[in-house]
Formats: sequence, C-alpha cells, structure tokens
Amino acid sequence: MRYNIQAKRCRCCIMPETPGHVELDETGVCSLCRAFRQTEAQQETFEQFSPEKKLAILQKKVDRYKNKGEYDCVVAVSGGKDSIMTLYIAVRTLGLKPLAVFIDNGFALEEMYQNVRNATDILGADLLIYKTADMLRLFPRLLRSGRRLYYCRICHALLDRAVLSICQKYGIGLSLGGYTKGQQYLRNSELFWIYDESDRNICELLDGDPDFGHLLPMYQNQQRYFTEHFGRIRQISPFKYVEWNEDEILALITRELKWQKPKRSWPDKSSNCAFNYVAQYLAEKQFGYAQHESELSVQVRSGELTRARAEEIIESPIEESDLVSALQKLGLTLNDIL
Amino acid sequence: MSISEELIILLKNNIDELEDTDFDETTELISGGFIESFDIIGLIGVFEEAFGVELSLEDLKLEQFNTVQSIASVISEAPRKG
Ligand SMILES: [Zn+2]
Repeated sequence: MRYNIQAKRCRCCIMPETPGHVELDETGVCSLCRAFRQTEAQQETFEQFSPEKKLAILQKKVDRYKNKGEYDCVVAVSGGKDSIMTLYIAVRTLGLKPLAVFIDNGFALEEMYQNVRNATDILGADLLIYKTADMLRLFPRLLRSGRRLYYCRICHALLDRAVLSICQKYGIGLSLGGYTKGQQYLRNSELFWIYDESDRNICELLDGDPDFGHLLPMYQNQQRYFTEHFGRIRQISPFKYVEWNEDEILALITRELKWQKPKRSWPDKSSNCAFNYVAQYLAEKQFGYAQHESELSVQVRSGELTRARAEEIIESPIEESDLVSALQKLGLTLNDIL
Repeated sequence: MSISEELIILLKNNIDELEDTDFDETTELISGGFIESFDIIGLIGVFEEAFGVELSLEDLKLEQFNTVQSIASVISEAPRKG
C-alpha cells in the first residue's frame, strides 16, 4: 500500500489544489502560476545577469572572508548531491579553505557517510561530524501529540542553529549552503502559512518542556532569533550564482568525488534522510503540500524541469515499510501517526 | 539629493548585486533576486546612519524593502534619532 495522498494538481506546475492557499481557476491553472506570469512579464531580475557576472559577484563576496583564520568558511554537508557540489565549488571554483561539517540528524543514510568521506578526502578539506540526538528525543513527543507540524522545518532550524554555532566556535564568518534555486524560501510565500502554523504549534508543545523549552525563542520568531544570535555570520548559497543542472552535477561528483546515490530515498533520486518519508506523508496529509511541491513547481515554472518529470518525482511512492522503519527508530508504530 | 537618489547610491555601495546594475525607484529588489533578508539586516544600520533615523526590525516587514520607492517612504516616516 502506498501512503501518497492523491491530489488534483495545477495543470502548469504540480501544486495540489489547497482551499484558501492554492486555488485552481476554470482552466486548471493555479494562483501561483498566474502570479508568476505577471511578474515574469515585468522587468529585469538577477537571474538575467550573465553567468560570468554572477560568478564574479559571488567571488567578490566570498573573497572578503579569505585568510581571516584557520578556515575561510563552513560548508554544511549532508552527503547529498547539492551539498557535495557546494563543497566542490567552494574548493575548486572559489579557492576557499572550508571546514566541511557533516550533519546527521539521526536519520542520515549510510551512503551519505561514505560520500562525505570521499569528497573531503579528494578535496583535501577538514571534516567535522556532528550527529545530533535532538530529533530522536524530540520527535516522538511531537508525533504523539498529533498536532499539525512540519517536521522538516523543525529539523532545519535545529540544524541551522548547530551549523552557525560551529561557525561561531571556530570564528568563521561565512557559511555556504547547498540551497538550490527552488529553495529560496523567502520568496516561496505559499509556504509561509505552513511555517507559521507549525511554529505556533511547536511553541505550544515546547512551552515549559524541561528538555526543549530553551528552543522556544527560536521557534517563536526564527528570523529574529537567528539575527540576534548569529547575525554576523554571512550565509550564501553558491547555487544562486553558479549555473549547473542536475545531470551535470551528478556526472561531475560521481566522476571526481566518487559520489554514490543512495539505494533508496524519498523522492526518487534524492538523498534526503530516512525520516523524510514520515515528514512528507504528514505534510501532505496535514497541510496538503510543503517544500518539495513548492521547489519542484518553481523549477517547472522557470523551465528547468518538465512538469511530467516533476509529477513523477512528487509521486515517488511512500511505502508502509519506509514509514515503519523511520518510526521504529523513534520507538513508534504506524498507529501513532495514522 | 532626494532620498531615493541617495538610496540608490547607498544600495550600489553596499550590495554587490547592484553595484554595476542600472535600477530605479520601482525595480523589485527582493522579488527580482537582487537582495536577500540577510542584506536587509545590514542595510538597516546603513540607512539609520545615512538618514539619522531609527528603524526597528521588529516593526518592519521585509516586503517594505522591495523597492527604493517603498524604502524611501519607510525612511521618511521613521522617527529621527536622538
Ligand atoms: Zn501552478
């Protein structure tokens, strides 16, 4: 049995119809695609800069952080293709001396460890392994509550905080992330209501919690929390400036960095953590959509991905065994989330 | 010099993406991908100093920094420093 939710999707992108948030018009086109067509017709954007100009801007930005200490920057790596490519760009394209930080949220796939070891060996980058038990401790109580929560959001905040704390400890002022184009969350405003509701709910659940109550200020207002605590650390996503397509990235890191794709991960051909099955299942069920739908739709609208391929990706099966094994790690069963 | 003209110079001096770019009062800076939330946090200090005003991040929405026009109105409505 598959646990994917069936939805009526926009004819142009893959956003599912979600009353009050994503409306389809009589021709089957969603409100986001209609808004996109309007802004697209409008004016100049950063996207239109030449590849050389974009790269020169990035180089200028990162050069300010060179030779300021033992490391020029931190690159947080999950072992997935985008973060490994970011590490490659940092070393080979930008000439930086990075500290690679491998982040394991407790659900990292085995292949990811090997990918990170290979890439850091070949690129000659120091590596710090940070494996947190936060998710293993926190998620069972959140899941048992049955509240509407977006687990990727909860996890990302904790991991960002960990990476930025490491920057601080090592006196590093620059953090490079592997965010791709579709992931410019500030601009994907269709996700804001999901973030807001998830943040409100986790705040209620954490209020007065002896183990996690200290995280309350972070979830109450992430923007403010991160500015207050880490406002001096610059975070840059090289993918905003450097043009690559997925096939080129895969070919390059496979050839040069001995990268291997995981045997199984959701969605197809991704390298997301083993909890992503549960997070995605719950996001579809509770909110209708989340980051994956939004990111893929951005790529479809910009012409980087065909709608058919995006649909195939988002419909990668979520099998019962995927959910069960992720939940098992938390001491839970399917009944706890259905 | 008008507030808008001064803003354009400050933006060119402080944002690498805008340094060699022709833009005007209505260019969409955030939705056009030229500036990010991180930049805005830095710009607030720059604007406060240049215009002698107090801007509080708490009361401002990021969208208010989307065009030179709207930044200019934020600045003209902000309380004077000191
Ligand atoms: Zn659409």
